[in-house]
Amino acid sequence: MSFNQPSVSSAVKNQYLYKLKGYSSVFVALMTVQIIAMFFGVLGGVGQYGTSNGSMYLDLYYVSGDLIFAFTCIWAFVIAFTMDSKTNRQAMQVFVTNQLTRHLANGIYLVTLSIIGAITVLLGGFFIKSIVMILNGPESTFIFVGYTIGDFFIGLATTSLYLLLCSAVGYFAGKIASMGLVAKLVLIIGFLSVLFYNGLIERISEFFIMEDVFSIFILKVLVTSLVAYVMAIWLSKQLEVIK
Amino acid sequence: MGIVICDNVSKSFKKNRAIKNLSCTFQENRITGLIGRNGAGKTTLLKTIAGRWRPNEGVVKVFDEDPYDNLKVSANMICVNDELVFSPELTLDEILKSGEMFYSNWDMEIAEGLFDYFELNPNLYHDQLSKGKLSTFNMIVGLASRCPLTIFDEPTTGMDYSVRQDFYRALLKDYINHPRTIILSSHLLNELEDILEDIVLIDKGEICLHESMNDLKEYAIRITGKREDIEPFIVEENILHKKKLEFNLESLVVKNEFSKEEIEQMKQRGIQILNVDAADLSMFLTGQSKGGIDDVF
Amino acid sequence: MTALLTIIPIIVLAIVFTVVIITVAKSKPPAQKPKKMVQRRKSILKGYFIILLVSGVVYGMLQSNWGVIGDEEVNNELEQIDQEFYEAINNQNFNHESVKEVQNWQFKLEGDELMLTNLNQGEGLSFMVYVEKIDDLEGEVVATYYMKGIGEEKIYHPNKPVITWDGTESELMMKQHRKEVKLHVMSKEFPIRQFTGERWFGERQSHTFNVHNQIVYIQVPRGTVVETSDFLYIYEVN
Repeated sequence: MSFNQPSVSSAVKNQYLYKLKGYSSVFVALMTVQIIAMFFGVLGGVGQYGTSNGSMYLDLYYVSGDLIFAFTCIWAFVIAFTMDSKTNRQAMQVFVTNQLTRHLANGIYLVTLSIIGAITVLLGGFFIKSIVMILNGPESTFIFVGYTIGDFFIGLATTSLYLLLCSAVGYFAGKIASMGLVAKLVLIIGFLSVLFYNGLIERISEFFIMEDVFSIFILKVLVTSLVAYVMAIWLSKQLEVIK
Repeated sequence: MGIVICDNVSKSFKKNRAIKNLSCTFQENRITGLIGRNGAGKTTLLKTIAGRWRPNEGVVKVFDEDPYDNLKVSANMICVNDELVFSPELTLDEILKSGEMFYSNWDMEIAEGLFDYFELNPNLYHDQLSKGKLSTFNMIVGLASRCPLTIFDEPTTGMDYSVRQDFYRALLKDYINHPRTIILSSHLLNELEDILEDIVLIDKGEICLHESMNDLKEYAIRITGKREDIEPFIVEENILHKKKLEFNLESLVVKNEFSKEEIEQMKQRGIQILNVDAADLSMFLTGQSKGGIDDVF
Repeated sequence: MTALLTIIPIIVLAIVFTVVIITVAKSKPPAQKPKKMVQRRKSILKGYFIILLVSGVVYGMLQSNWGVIGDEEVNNELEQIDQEFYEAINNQNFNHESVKEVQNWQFKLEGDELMLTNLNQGEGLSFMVYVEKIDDLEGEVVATYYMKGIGEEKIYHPNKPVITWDGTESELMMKQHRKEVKLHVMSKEFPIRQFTGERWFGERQSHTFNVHNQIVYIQVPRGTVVETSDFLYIYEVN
């Protein structure tokens, strides 16, 4: 009997397709999370504004898909966190796989999820706005700055990158969570104390949020995601050898 | 040619050594039975061969390569056990299609034929199956993938008798049509006797016997006769099983290292000589003591 | 950074919800006909994506039909209207199309002193009053409330003021109910705002909202001495 010499790329492709087909519950989770965010989004909003002579008081409710965006970021984190869990790993091992192809397939899958997530975030934003506008009529609703096609693509790219970042960090965190209890506790406590000490968490978020040059933003996100992802793979290798 | 070569392999979990300094070679295009009691180390050995983990000591070679984290081995090997995890969102039908996507030799005709025969509903989900149906489905995956190395670890768990018989037949037929290396583990030998070509007996993490099935049948004989008649012929180390009968009679299972003359002499003294059933023999070989459960009572 | 801190409760809430939802979505309870269930789930998913796509189209239509406030074009237009209005008032050109008379009050004045009092001063609501002194007004005070006559539909109007004597016929009381308007401002999502320099919502209050500024125009007989209380500013026309 002749042996198959599978290429890495075909193994990755097959696993990716298998994941895409076999795990549609991630999209159900995405939908549920976004519907809840939309619910809050339609209800809520912030901002107040008075006129110069005080005869009018405008209660401004800023309506946007920000909450959907936030919820979706957490979705990406949690999905990535469980992506390489023991059960999911075993499900991959049934078929043709090794560590490299598994992590690559996971990575490509997460990129896909990020892009789909980003599209739904933007469309979800339109959904909230359409609902609010139709419910309240043109008298008490207005569009401050209209979307352009360019906005849409920038939004798509940026949202995808944020989701990718969240999922890469989630992937890494998921690996940490599968370590031994002591190592896990030490790492988590260390991580949290570093975050809340010295306002580091603010500086880290500013590092991404305050960046207003698009190309540098892309670079920052991609490099950070890649580092988190590679660390996750490295950790995963260490963990599996121990077993 | 050895498809799977284990050389001095040890694997332990925490302090429990599951396999110890184990060496054996599985030949190409043969059906080998890996027989041992529960906890003898069968699953550990098979998972090591399947590359699920690295042995603590020793070398495992599958297709001349280290199976751990090896894509080529993964593509040419399938390890079917009752721990197979599939996506909970795929129907059995869709799982088969996924298998077809992954394994280039996949035989959808066989898979569908067996599906019909065993009356599996292709629209069910893997976690909805009963234990027996689950084993049947996993077996179908194992057969249809037609991997050069196919490992079945206790494949018949939960199957009823007739399904087991059908499975063995299906395995044999498919093997004859498409020869490949098959390793079949079980704690029972009696039903497998007819399909196995080689047998590996494993006990407490060690190989205690590796023979072809034909050799196994002549490996030992049962001698029944008066104690004082038998004694001169017996070497104590060769006794595999001893049973005292009434009227000072003893029934011994001993390794067949007798010359023709010795056999003749025994017969002349009225000693009864019988062949030993392979299944019984495997039990004696892997038995904890030369006694048995009777000694407990 | 304070803006980030204020959204932390929302983030915590979001985390809790998301984790719960994902765990629930993943643990599929055994159902009698899960094939149907999975198919139903898939069609719900499809429906969701279709709704999202449709809402994208709907929003596009709304945006093009309702117009965009923050547009430079609209802003320029409103600025233009503002300019024309004040110019017309200053030039006493009340027949100009940019000026619309809303209400007119006439009072008999006793003596030659007029006190103007703002009854809303505690609320920080102020009046801008134009005062014109006229020869042939015989002991009369004429007050008129004007608003912008064009582009009304794009302007938010306060309530009309009420102007009365306090009883002495030498002091005019001006009162107005503050108007509260609830507005929904459609804004872009953070990932877009990040690169348009807006980033936080607070920063966008600098944008002009086109609220109608009040004009109360009072004509008094020449020689009248006009005094005012706090929060009432007089602009003498001649």
